Amino acid sequence: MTSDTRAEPAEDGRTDRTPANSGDESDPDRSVSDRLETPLERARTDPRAHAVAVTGAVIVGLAFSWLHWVGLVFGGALVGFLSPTLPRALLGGVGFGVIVLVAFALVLGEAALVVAGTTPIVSVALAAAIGLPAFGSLARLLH
Amino acid sequence: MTVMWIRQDVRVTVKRETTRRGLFAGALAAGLGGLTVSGAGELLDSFAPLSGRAWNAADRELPESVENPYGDASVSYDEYGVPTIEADDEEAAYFAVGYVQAYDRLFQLDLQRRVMRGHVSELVGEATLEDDEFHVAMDFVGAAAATWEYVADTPAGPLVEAYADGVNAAIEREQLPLEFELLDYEPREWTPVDSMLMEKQISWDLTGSFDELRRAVIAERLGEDVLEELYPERMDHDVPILRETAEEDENGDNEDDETDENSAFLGLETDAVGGELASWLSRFESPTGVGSNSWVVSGEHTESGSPIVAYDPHLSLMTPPLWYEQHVETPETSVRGATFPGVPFIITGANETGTWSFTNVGADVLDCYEYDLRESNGDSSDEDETGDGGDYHFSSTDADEYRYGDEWREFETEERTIPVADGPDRTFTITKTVHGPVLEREGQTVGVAWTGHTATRTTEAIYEFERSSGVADVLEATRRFDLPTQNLVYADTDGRTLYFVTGKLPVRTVDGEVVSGNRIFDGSEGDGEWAGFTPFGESAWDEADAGFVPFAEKPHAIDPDVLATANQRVTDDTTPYVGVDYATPYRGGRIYARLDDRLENGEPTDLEFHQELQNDTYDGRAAQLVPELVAAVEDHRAISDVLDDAAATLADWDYHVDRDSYPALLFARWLEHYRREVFEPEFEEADLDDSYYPNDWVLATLPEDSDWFDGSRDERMVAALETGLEEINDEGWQRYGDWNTTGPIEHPFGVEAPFLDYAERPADGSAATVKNYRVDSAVGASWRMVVDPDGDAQAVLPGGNSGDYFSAHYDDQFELWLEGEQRPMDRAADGEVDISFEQREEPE
Repeated sequence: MTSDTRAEPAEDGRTDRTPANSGDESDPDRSVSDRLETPLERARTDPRAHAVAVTGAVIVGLAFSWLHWVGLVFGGALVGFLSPTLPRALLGGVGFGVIVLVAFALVLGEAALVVAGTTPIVSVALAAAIGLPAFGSLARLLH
Repeated sequence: MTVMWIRQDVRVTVKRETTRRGLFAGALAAGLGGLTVSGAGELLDSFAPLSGRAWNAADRELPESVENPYGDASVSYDEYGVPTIEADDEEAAYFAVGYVQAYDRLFQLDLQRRVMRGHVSELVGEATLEDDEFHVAMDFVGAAAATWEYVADTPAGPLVEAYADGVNAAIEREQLPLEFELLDYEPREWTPVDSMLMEKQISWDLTGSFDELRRAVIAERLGEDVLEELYPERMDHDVPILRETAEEDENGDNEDDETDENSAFLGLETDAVGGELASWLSRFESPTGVGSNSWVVSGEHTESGSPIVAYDPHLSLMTPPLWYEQHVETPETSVRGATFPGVPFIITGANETGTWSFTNVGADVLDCYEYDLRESNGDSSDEDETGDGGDYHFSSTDADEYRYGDEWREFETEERTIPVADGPDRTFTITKTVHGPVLEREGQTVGVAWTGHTATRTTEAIYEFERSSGVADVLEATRRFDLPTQNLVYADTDGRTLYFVTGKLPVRTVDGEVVSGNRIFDGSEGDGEWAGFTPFGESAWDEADAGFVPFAEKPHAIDPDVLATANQRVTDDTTPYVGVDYATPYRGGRIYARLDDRLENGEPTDLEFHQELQNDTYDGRAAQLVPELVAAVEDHRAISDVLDDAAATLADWDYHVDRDSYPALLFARWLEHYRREVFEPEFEEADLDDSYYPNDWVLATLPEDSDWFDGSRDERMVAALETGLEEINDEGWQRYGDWNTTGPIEHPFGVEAPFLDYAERPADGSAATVKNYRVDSAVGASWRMVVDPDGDAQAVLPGGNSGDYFSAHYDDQFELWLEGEQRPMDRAADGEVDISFEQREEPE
């Protein structure tokens, strides 16, 4: 019989906060995980910590997205990483994309309506806004 | 043991987990890397939300103030985005003009000069290389440089420089328009030579015709009889621009002195010219259908008692429009009207005193020459059989010498680089003779002389038009209007009216005899040369012995009562020779008929009447052909209900080609197929496409027993009707506007970015109507203007005054234009200042 060291999602979707083998300082892999896991798990599971962390992730993601489109992937990755489950990570990535679009429209101001008619190039913007953060949110699979 | 077992299992699990994470991380990195290095990365660089550079162009804003090294000025835009530029100093004003033109139309400026410089391939790659080669071969840049050398020392020179500085200030300061972001490039510095290039471009669009080459090809393939029958030098009609001369003709006072020598193609040598060269060059000629309407009625026939000028130039319709409207207020003048982006001065419009307009004459200001050629090493491997006396008459790219008189001369050559995107740059060698540039295609070679290939003074003339204060000033300015050849129509507040042919009209001689120019001349013998013409230098236009028609002898009318120009024959006089490339008389005849009718009734005209006349959709071709078509159907042996209904529909039609008309659709499609029915068999056999077909006046006036009908005109007509009906049914068209749409009015990027095009709408008009619209070539009224110089003025553009897609003025006049409406073009300067130009330092 083997034991999965990952935190198992509970029935309610939350993650089990008690790792099976926490406290083993002699394992180098474990020590790295431990250092990350506690705050990360809090950010994933504690509602208040989660909200703060996601807000920060969105702000950082928007800032990077302003500089380069890789920021969209990065923002999605941050939001996804903070999500308790992969489905929620994907949802978070899409949500981040929607926020990017709202920010984009606000920045454009009155021109937003005109930009909406710039088919096909606006399709690239829409696809990038949703697709790249969603792609980035797959980073949740890393941990 | 149990503990050990668990720990080993955990290690294995962790390793597996690490491997899995590594794989995911690798996949993510690979995906990201793939996006970055692939075409998707480029798309994202351009269009990603927030960071995409294309969106930078979406929120361009006019600056509140701009530093102007020439002095203070202000710009206020009106409700249609037309700038009023006010300044106490002309140079300060034209700096601001350059700035606002660049702000509103920078991509158009840059694209036009790229076309003329042969630098389009630098943006789009090899697809446009042939076009670039033509423009480089013609050395329009050399002609523009020669022109600037002259203009720089005229009063207009400093203003052109100030204008160029204004353009460059906008390039430096302002966010570039969307097109630059789409192509990811920045424009180079604008120079006065670039502005001169714009003059060359519009002149080329209006007068660049290799008609003699096409005629030579037709003569060779179909015979000279066909040439004379289908391409008459004079169409049989009685509505020239100057009708007085036609009346003289009727009285027998002015016999047609056209000689056989003038009308035929004596001595035509076509061995240098073939279909390949003519077909290739036809791509670079004036767009089919380029022409215009303008007319003037004196104050005796207007409600206000002041003359009225109506004008609508039929040039390429595009997005954004060809014309840019501006209003300039300086102590010297108050002038408003339209110009071409890149040109500082208003080309057509009105000032405090008068209003002026230009339509194309169709004059012959381009000649082609063939030469005896040889290689300098004397190798005559491609010797022509017709060569004689040891002269090697051959057409070959290997030739580097041409015979001129008794001597062999080397071609003057110059190497130019044509930059090419995504490929190696090309080196092109410009070749010239004493006459001008040499064009070569598949071993066929001609030398070209064009009046634009020298220093022209048109910029100076246009500047003087802006400041003119009456007929005398305008006449003086017109002397320097060297190119293009135009029908100037003018009226002023003194009640004066004027018509004058502008531009230089070359005089050709062969063996001392004056001849027409619609032939290919023997350049080696010096035939047909224009005395005093210096290609790429300064010509002696006004010398007594210059080979150009003296100013006073050019067709003109001082204080005409009623005069209409629609590119029809200028006059029935055959001297001086003006040209043969005139439009069919449908528009000219209709305008004169409507004006005559109104005036004979004694009813004075007003702006509204002239605006309505500009929107007249009566098609004279239908009036000529429909009765014959209806009769043909009635007489047809195998009549069907469908044909019978179609004939009945056409019989009840009023010949107005309106967008909602079904008979107009039926006629338009029938005419297209009838043209093919008549000409296609012979032309196809001669390997001549439909661009060689004769005009519709010739088609409509072919005698019933003409051989072109292959036995029966009626059968050709009915067959075309059957084909037309079938096509209409297949396409599902219900009315004229289903086929005749504004779809062809495209932006240069219309295929890749269709949102840049104006909306596609059903349109009125045809090639033969006063309300002119040619759906097949996207040519039509590129500007409409009606002006009472002592009263109101109105105008409209086919689109908007701004070329910025995100501007409210990108297309705000399009519906007005489509509906034939106009809006005020007044010279009041009472708007709020949008940009203040302030002098903060002295110009260097």
